[in-house]
Amino acid sequence: MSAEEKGGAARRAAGAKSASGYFLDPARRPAAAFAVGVGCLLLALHHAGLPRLVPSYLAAWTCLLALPAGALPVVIMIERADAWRPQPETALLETLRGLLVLMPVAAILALPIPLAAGLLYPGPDSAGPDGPLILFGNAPLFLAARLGLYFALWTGLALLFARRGGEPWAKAGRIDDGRAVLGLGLHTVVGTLAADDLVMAVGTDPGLRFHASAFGLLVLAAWSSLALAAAILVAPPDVGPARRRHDRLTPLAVLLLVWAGLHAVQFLMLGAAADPEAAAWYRLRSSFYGRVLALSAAAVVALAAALTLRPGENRTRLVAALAVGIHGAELFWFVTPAFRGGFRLGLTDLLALAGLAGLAMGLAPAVRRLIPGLAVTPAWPGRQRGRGHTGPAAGDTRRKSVVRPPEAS
Amino acid sequence: MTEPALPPAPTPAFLYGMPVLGTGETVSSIGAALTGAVLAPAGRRWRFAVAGTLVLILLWAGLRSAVPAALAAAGAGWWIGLASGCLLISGLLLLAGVAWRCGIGRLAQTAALLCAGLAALHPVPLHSVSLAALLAAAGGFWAAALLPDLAVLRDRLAAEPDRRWSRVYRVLSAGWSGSALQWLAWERASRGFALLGILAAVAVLIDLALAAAFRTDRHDTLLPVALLVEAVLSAAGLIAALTVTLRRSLGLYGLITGRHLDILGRLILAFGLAALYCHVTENVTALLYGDSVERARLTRRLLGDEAPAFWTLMLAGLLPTQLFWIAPVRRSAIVLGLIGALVAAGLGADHVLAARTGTTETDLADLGTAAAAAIGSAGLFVLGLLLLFRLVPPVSIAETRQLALAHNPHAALGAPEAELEFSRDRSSDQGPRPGLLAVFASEAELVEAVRGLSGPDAPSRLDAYGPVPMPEAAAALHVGGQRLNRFALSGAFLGAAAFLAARVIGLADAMPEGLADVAALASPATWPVFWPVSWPLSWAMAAVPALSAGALGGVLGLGAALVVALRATRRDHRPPSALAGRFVLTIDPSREPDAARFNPAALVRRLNALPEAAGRPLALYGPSAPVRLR
Repeated sequence: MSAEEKGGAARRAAGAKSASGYFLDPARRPAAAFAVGVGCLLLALHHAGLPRLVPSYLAAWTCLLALPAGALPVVIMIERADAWRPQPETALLETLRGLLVLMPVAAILALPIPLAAGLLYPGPDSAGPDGPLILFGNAPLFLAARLGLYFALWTGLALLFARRGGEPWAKAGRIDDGRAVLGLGLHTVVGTLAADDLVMAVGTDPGLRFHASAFGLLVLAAWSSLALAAAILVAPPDVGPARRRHDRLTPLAVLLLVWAGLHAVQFLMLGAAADPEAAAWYRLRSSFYGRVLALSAAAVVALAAALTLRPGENRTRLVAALAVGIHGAELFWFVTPAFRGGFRLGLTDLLALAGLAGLAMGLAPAVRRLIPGLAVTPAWPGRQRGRGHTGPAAGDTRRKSVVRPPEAS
Repeated sequence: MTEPALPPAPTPAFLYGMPVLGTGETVSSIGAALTGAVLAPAGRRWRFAVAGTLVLILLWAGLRSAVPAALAAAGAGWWIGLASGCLLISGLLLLAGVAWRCGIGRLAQTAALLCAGLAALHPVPLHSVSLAALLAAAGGFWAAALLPDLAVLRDRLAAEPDRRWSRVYRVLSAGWSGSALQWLAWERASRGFALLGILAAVAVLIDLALAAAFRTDRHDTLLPVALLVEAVLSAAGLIAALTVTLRRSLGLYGLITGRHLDILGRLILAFGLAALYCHVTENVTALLYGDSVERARLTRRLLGDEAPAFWTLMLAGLLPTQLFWIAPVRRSAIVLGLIGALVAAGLGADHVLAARTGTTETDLADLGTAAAAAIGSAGLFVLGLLLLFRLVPPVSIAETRQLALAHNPHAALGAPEAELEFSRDRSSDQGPRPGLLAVFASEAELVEAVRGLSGPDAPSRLDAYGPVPMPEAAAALHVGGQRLNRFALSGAFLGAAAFLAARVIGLADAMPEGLADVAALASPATWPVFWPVSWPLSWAMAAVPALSAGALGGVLGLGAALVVALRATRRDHRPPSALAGRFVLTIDPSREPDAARFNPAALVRRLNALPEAAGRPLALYGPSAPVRLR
């Protein structure tokens, strides 16, 4: 053993830590992530200035919102599907429920959006071809009020469906269809309004905005696909014999196909209408990088559909990783070209994304403590044993485990 | 390396405490009830119903030419919506593996076929290949699902003195023997047809929406989604009405239970909400973000010349669905049937809106004529149903038996009580059987017997036959699946390529510079810059019919592959028809040179030594007298 190694061993024995060890300590990780997030955003502000940072922030924030808002309908659907099949899809469902904690986090991080409404949305004097109600709709106060309403409803739904196994209204053998339908319906209405308000209405030039009634549904499909793909990447693999393992690729491929189908249908219908504003909207987004993104998305959807014939763990994760990348880029493709005259991902976008991720990681533990109903303990017995966890996590002491560990059965 | 044997999967609990199948239903009772519904002589009510439909058909034939073209196109759209919805419902239930689908699946498939046929009798406002794909997919799905049931009818008629219908069903059943390999091919083909049917249905609805967008000023981007949702909703309403009628008229209370009606009510409720979402979003978007033209159109729809169609859609097609929030309403068969029929009819109003035909005072007479013609064409639909359900069972025998075996403990058939006429079977025209036949109570017991008999030195050929799909038996017999998927994919690729080639040739003939102009249109660099000018000719507008052509090619490829697979797997020595409906293991001598080592007595001893209910057969039959073991 060299002198340096001896010194390191002595420091470790004495309890001293390196700088990286200090910040990676689980107790300090949220604060460190928050600090890194703030640093990234300050760097982006310095690099690009506020008018260029604001669209990137909005796009990055929609990526963050996509995780809880997209996970919500998937949680409901998987829970309904589990009512019909003998073996529940536990690990993926728990991971998706874990994403629901990001709903209040996204609400907190949405605070700058109404403040920057003047930079993101048209002013009261630029009616353009829009209807009369749009004139005062995007005033900061009204926008903040609508955002507050959306997040109040979304957080309520997240609290309702974060409960495992349909608790408390359902016992084994009795699942409530009505709440599932109402939950899905309410989410769809809120999501449509939010997508129209925040994403479709973006841009200060009324001639470069278009209005399509399918846009809300399209954004909801993209969010759900992104959330499911992210959950597939994070969740542990399904265990058991190959014939009994749940196929996670097919639901993802179906969501990707729905999303791609909605894109194609919207494009075809607007083309049939020969709508000049829609043509301008698409032209703005059909720069070289925009076309690369469109072709890549088509390739990913085709790959996902083809691989459903031969699903496998690694293939599923590959498709999920590609889907996360495509959807992340798509959410920037929706927002940023309206301010830049074309689509391309730059340093400001990446810094905004990293900043939002850091802030979200920093805020999530505090939100878990404040709202214990959203703190989901992963019900993965193998992973818990591997990490030495023996009891429920903080904030989850009130709820029972529905999935019995193998040793209990 | 083979996987270890798995414990049986736990049976899912009945939801809501209502069974999806009568508790007394067995393999035998299901076969008797459903073949009886086909083979029983037609009653007086059936004849009256046929006479009534003939009156309606005469009405339709008289009014058909008087209906304006736009309203006739709306009628075609309505039938296309119903066909697509039925295909989507039956296909999605099959692909999702929903066990209770058997109660409504055959009805949905038959309705899809008839509705697609009726749409073809109207002037269709879309590409002909889209309608052809829908018709082919509905026909292929229906015919493939029928195969095992036709074989049940064939076996049922084998002992009848009148041999004419027996011969008909023997030809129609295409050599179906119920072997494990045939079941495997059938399951894969059914899934393939379901997928292609969904593809064809979605493509035809998008084509319908695009055709409406070109013909009229309705360019709402939610229109394809609305048509899709309404197609499923109208089909659910139609299936609900038909299910209630069928259940009552044939007394199929054990096979179509209250649970089915409850599920249909929930389906109508959920899709009613989705359709309301589409229409409310369309109107709110026009109100909030639309320009003056869109807002004027909204006013016209709510209060102007489009108001009759719009409010018919709302009051008959959408709002009644919300009554199903009330459980007693949802569970009442009569109310479900009436609301289902009202919804299926009321949603036709959206096709009138899509056809953009205003209903001013002068047009009201045309609208009345079109409504009367639609009622007349419904007579043709009902006549088709009445005739088809005299030929094929109205509920799938194979799938219902599968459900019975999974849920009812004593559903399986035992060994036949009467002595089996082993050496000469009239139904199969086969010679004397040299090997053994072993009868089992379940697929699991048959699998144990296969494991007990198979091995590298086994001097025998084993094959399994049964009344339902036998995936575990196929795995134990190491039966490889047919490559049906590849045939379907090849057919789909060829279909799409042939369509695009024909389209390019047609365009090149129409363009001044020929292929050079077509290449310019096909380039992605042209979109969306030349949108208003060349859009109808661009590559994008060929995408949807190309999708339909792909589905059509896939259906043809899969159908051919299924026929080839059935012919290839047809065995010379299928079990006699007296053993139909049972799990039978056939043990035949291997081909030369090991045939001399075949020793039936030793095989009987090996089978007899297996534990009871874990491989020991209920009965054994050989060249000599039958052996009843337990």
